[in-house]
Amino acid sequence: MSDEVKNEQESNGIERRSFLKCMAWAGTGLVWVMNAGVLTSCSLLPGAKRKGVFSFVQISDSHIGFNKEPNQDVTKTFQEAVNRINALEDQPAFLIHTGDITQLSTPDQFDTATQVLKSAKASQVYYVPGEHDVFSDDGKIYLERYGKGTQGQGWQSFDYQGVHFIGLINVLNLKQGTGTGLGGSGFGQLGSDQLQWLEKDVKGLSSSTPIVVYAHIPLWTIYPEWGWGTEDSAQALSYLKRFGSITVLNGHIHQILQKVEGNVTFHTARSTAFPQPAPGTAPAPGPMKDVPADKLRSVLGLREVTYVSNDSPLAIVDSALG
Amino acid sequence: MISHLNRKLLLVSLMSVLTLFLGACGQSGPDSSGSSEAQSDTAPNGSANSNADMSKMDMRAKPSPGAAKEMPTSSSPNEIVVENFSFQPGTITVKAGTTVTWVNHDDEPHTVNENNKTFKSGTLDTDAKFSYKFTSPGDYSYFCSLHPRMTGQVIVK
Repeated sequence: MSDEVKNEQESNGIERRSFLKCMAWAGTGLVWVMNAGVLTSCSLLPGAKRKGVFSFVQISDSHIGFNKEPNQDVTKTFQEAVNRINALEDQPAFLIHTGDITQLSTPDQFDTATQVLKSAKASQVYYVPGEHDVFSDDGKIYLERYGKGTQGQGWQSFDYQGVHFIGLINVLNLKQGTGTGLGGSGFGQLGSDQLQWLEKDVKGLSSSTPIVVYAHIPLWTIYPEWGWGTEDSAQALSYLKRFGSITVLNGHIHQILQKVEGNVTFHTARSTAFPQPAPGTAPAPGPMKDVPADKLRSVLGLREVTYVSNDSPLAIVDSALG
Repeated sequence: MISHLNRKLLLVSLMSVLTLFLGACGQSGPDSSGSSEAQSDTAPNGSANSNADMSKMDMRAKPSPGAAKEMPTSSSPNEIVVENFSFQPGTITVKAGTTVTWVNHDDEPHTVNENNKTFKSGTLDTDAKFSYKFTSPGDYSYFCSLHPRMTGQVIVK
């Protein structure tokens, strides 16, 4: 319960101001703190103190409606996540839910999620859908509920205290996978409309603007055999190359992986509902059923911590596991 | 140095995930495409035949597959089982007029979407079924809209 991470001191005295310096993962979510232009994340333990200009929390893959092993009460664990956020001494400015809000995109499942999030002290929540939120109706219900103020089929950007946030959608109109590797591989996809929008969206920004991109499916190729990647993510990232600090936050794979590539730091988050196997370690992705009840919360991600510093070339092992 | 330490931390956390996982899924290995692959070491050795032929028949024409079929329990011939994120059998050939049924045995929802939108199952949660009657001959390729790497084909004669 208490391998809490002491990375907060790292946010003091940072010279390379435009890079993500350190981050801590904690269970049900992540707190990201902006400090002098540097994104720092800190553990989400009750009463955790953070020094920064502002913070936000990422939550992901709540899968409301899922009711099988290893978690028959995902609403409860989702609520626990919110409770933890509420227990933070310095409240986050907003929350970002990186998709798979629901299991089957039914109205009652969306209702439940909304209900739980109403109990969050931070009233502003930004969303992107996961494939579970849109697959049954091409995103109709999702857009009705969360589409306000968004562009195209639900993507959006906003600025908060000098940071430019971009919410991308890569779970719509998925096409049949035809083989291995890239190219018709059953990956997520952004599509040309969204890419055009993105290019325009960042055009007028100064290159020193910190960028945070969030989307459901990872924007780098983690494991092609399971479709864990986004077909046209390279295109999207090419528009962002000139920026000094790009942080990419994803969900989908229900486990923490990270990678640093140049100025881009990629992170995937844990689920609040159930874990999935590491890439290639099972015949298929999907819920890991045999997690004992007393271990469940630990694999929903409590207290996992690491640092990423910009001068290490690749801070994480990812697709190599495949 | 810091990054060193952290890499370690990361590794440890990854490993704990792995361990947990190994504990969790002790069954079938990392997917070997199913069907008739499983016949190798129990080969009965052609014994009483003419020596000349032996090398030829060796591996292939094995008469007693024993308990090799641990594939899903598809009771009806026109049923396709969705299991472990795959359609089994992946290709099925039927006569025009046949009704084919898909049943989802995964704990994950799936769908059956024909590529040209000829049919679309909607959500198939665990144990849910979907049937479609194929009236005209042709090749029908389909996939799961949630996991588009899952594909299958129905050939209608």
